[in-house]
Amino acid sequence: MTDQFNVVGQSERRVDGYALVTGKPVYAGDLDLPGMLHVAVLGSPHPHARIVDIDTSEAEELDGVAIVLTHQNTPATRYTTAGQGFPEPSPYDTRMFDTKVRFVGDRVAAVAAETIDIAREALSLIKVSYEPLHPVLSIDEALADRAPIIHDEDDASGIWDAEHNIAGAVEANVGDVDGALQTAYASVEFTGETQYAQHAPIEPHVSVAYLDDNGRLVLYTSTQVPFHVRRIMAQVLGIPVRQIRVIKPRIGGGFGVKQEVLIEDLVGLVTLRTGRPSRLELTRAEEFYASRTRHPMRVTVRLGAGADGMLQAIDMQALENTGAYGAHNLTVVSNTGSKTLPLYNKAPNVRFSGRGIYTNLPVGGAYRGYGATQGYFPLEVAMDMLAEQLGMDAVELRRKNHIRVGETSPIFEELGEGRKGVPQTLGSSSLDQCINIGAERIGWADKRGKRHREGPWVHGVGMSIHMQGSGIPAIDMAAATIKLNDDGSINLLIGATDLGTGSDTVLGQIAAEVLGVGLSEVIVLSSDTDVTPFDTGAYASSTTYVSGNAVRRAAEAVKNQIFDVASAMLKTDPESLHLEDGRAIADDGRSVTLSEVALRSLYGADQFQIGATASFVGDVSPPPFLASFAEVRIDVETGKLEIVNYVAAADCGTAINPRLAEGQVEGAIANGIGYALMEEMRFDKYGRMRNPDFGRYKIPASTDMPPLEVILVDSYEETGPMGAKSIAEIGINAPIPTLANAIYDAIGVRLTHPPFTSEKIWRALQNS
Amino acid sequence: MRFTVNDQVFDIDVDPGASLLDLLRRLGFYGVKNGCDNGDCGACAVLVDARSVTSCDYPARAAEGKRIVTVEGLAPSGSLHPLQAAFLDTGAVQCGFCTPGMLISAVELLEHNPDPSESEVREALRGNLCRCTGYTKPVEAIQLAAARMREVDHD
Amino acid sequence: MITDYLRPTSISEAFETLTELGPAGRLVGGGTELAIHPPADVSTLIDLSAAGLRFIEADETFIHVGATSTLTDMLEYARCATSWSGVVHTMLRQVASPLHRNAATIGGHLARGRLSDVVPTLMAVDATVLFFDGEHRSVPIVDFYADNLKRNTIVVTGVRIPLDDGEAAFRKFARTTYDLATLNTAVGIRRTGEEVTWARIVVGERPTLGMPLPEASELLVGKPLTSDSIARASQVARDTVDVRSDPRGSAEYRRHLAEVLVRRCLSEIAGEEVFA
Repeated sequence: MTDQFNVVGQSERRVDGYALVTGKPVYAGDLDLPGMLHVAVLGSPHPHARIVDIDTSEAEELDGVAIVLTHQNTPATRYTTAGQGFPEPSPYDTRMFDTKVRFVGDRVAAVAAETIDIAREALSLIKVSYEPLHPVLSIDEALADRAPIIHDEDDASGIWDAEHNIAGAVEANVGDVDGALQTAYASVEFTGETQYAQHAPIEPHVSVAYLDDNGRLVLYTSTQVPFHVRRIMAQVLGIPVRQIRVIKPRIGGGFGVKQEVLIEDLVGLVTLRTGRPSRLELTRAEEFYASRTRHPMRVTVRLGAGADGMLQAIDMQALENTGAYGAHNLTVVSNTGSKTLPLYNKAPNVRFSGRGIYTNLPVGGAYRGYGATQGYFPLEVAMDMLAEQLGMDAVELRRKNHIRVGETSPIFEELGEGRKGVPQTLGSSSLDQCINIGAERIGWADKRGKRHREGPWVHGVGMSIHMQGSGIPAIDMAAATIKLNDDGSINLLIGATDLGTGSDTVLGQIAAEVLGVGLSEVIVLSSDTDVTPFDTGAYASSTTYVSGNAVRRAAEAVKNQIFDVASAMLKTDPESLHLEDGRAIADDGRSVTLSEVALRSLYGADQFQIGATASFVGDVSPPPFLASFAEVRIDVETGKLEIVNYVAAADCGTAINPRLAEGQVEGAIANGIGYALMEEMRFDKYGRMRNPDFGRYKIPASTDMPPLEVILVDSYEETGPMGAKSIAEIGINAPIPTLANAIYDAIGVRLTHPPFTSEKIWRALQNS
Repeated sequence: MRFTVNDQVFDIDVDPGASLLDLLRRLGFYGVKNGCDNGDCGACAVLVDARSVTSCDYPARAAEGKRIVTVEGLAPSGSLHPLQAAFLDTGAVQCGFCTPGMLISAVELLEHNPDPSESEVREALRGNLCRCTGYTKPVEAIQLAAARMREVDHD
Repeated sequence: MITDYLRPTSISEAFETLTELGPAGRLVGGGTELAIHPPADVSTLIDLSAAGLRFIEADETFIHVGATSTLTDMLEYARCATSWSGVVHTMLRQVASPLHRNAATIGGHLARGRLSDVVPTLMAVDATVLFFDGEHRSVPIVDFYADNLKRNTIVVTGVRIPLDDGEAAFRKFARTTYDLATLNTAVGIRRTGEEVTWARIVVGERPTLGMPLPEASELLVGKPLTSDSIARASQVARDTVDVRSDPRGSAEYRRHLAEVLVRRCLSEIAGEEVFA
């Protein structure tokens, strides 16, 4: 389908690439302002305690200290740090500084000083007296009778059941699941428990604030959600939105952790109070335990099927550990069901229940996959178990049951993000081809169940299939502004937030395609709340689809204005014109350049600025699909696992920029392999993280990655820009179930708790 | 203390406790990134006398008399080093935060091994953590740059 | 807090400075965690790079490695890739990353001792540590850690690896390719004809210092390497190694790994196909 396009479908160089490869100072942390204060944060040493007293006098007297912030001198507004659409579906359970601390690392105080060393020294001079409370360090402890109440404050709102430590709850039910499970020919049950993990962007959170000449607060910040940052800052600091300007420069990776207002309020308040620029950059350790994490979950899946393999019932029960605060808890756990269950739409009876549970551990947040990762593990392992029970090939079972074009699932409507969803009929999918290609490339037919041996190594293959979405339908909105310049170049102003994905380039390609110019003619600017139009931000796999559609609409509007001017110039009908190679060309071959059109509109006759702003909200959220296959080998003497080969075939509709789209899948798979095999935040009995650095918390290095083949299998999504769907998240869901199933194929053991370390595999072998 | 950065000579006082990373950023070489401050992630890699090291745990004073090259020094202004071009052509840059360090490691690799195998490239990048790309395209980029550089050498 | 950075130009000057400063002084080889996280009582870094200790050379009987030679220097030194079955080269390739090997010095590694693939390997190849404590001294590396040497009060000047017909093997078992070992094993033997005349089995990262296992090693001496003797030595290694639990692995798992990895090292030396 993509051969109809000129710029779309090409692997163009990134529009910001030159600056990035030459080391230009383009990140928030590179902004070095005269007189800038440096901010450091005092974290709680206790997992659960009341602050009885804070004495900051010595810290304030230290030479070079400008200001010390605590609950005693900061706004007491309750809010959520979650950067979501307004009103947020997350509870207002957070204060800038609270009188109670709820996890080790929770904010107690902050110091701004002339240097970071002075700020840190001042922290050590703050005397805090705590009344330690009994800590709640697991879901089970939180739900136990007479468990300590973590959110006992009376001014929080939006908490489902604070007395029982339940932050949020969601249910959906279609048909009669219990009845169907009882009468099913075959049924299986599997519980998978995913672990605490952190996004680990190589750039930690960093913000710089200053006052502009008119006294407005300007923030350069590493965020995925500049407009949410502006709104929440105004709410927390009690100042009007108009007093705040948020600029998102280049971002050093986010993966969800920067969909949250975690540090902007501090530099904002320091700068408002002192009048001086200020800077706060989290340390790597703080990034681990004091920013946001993936929500760990315990998810049980029960499946029932007929002898023919057709699913009769799916039951999914999810318990989510949201940590000390409820940011994203309801929406993440909703997605555990809503992004997984529609994949198997043949089941007439489907039930989902999700609960977000408070504990005194680090706070869960948005993390690539957003709950789907935690749900796909048990769902796709259960599908393997069901296939085995039915004596059916695992691939065949999935082929029989997965959703196809023209079909729907009741879950689309029954379960949205923390509320009902929207009905939708699948408009595009190449999942069948993805499955076929993946199976062939991995050698499924030859290798499955064969347990090939070489020395101590035993081989196995496993697979799983997945869907995600493209934005949050009927909620999240994007807008784009396009204007034409004298020389025929085009400004594309977008609130959409390129956090490293390359979305500036992708959106530029969409504009260039519509306007018949090369990408080099498009000057892309993202994001500046004073300059660029609104966009909810980069999350929920929204940018290519939602923001891309906004760009397409704005470009269409500009195209029509160009036609109006050009038709006057050429004395022809606008309908006879088309745009190509930077010209408006009439049917008879006569043409004018876009520069000539712009010059006429700006200086010639009937003057006006050719330009338009357009918005888009999705009615639906077209899912990308992925078929994931891996061959592993396991050293049965030591439990060591090596991935021999990994194949991921993905459907993102039209790949606007194929290399960037592949890169999204490759990166997500790598991140998922890390989650499956090595990544885990570990805590001691006092709730302290034991491994807050890359020496101990391992993420995949270049030599850890197996041969990875990513294949994009085009489909065409009619509602998407040039047929495109979003692709950034889906890959991360695959490695845990794919590898769990491959491990079972090799050694006959079902592992329930990632990461699947050598020692866990060895122990499982000892016990089997 | 006297040292050069990207052929520019400096002769300045340097704090005995400073890291080379702090020193370089203070001098305006912002392409040297701080990702972990613990010698683990490689975002701060620079060449010291043609060898790549993590600058965050390298004492600034140990650089006395040495030639330092940062990412800013890889190509004259306005042009690109073949590695930089290949990173753009292959889509090896996503957020770009680890890219300067990767480029530095790759420069050293190609200096010693103009035709590295895929596994040799992966070995060379082991100390450069990247969270965006999964390494597939950076590895491809380095091999592409090596091929282009060999071609130029032959001409 | 570091307030002074010195760069002595001789070993004796370095030693005198160190002695004078006591706990406030600390030697620096190359890049080091000292630069970012100096102990609170350390105020002066003493950089050895001008003391003339960056060299690697061989004579007929030894490879001599100066203390400020980097791990990369050693990795690129040809005789490290040929003597003792090339084990030093094989091991160094698995240490951290090029970025670290370019900065880390052999002297720094030896002085620290723990968190190392290097030390167990050098033990297995019967190396000798050279140091200065007012006089130039040498001590077999296995005794360097066994003795109550105050390693912070001396200047490690280098290490020497004997050049003979010794054979060796090394195994590193780690959670990832870019991690400290959960456990490592290094084995060196010398043979006359088929008969083993000297053997040293070392287990490192237990998670503490490399530990030679004399009882297991002795089992090999006086006879050829056979699958039987290999199996017995590996079992005794398992039974006699001292292991602890930490987040990288439990004591029980480490004990098991010790047996498997020692067996694989010995099998490799015996010329068997090992696969892993």
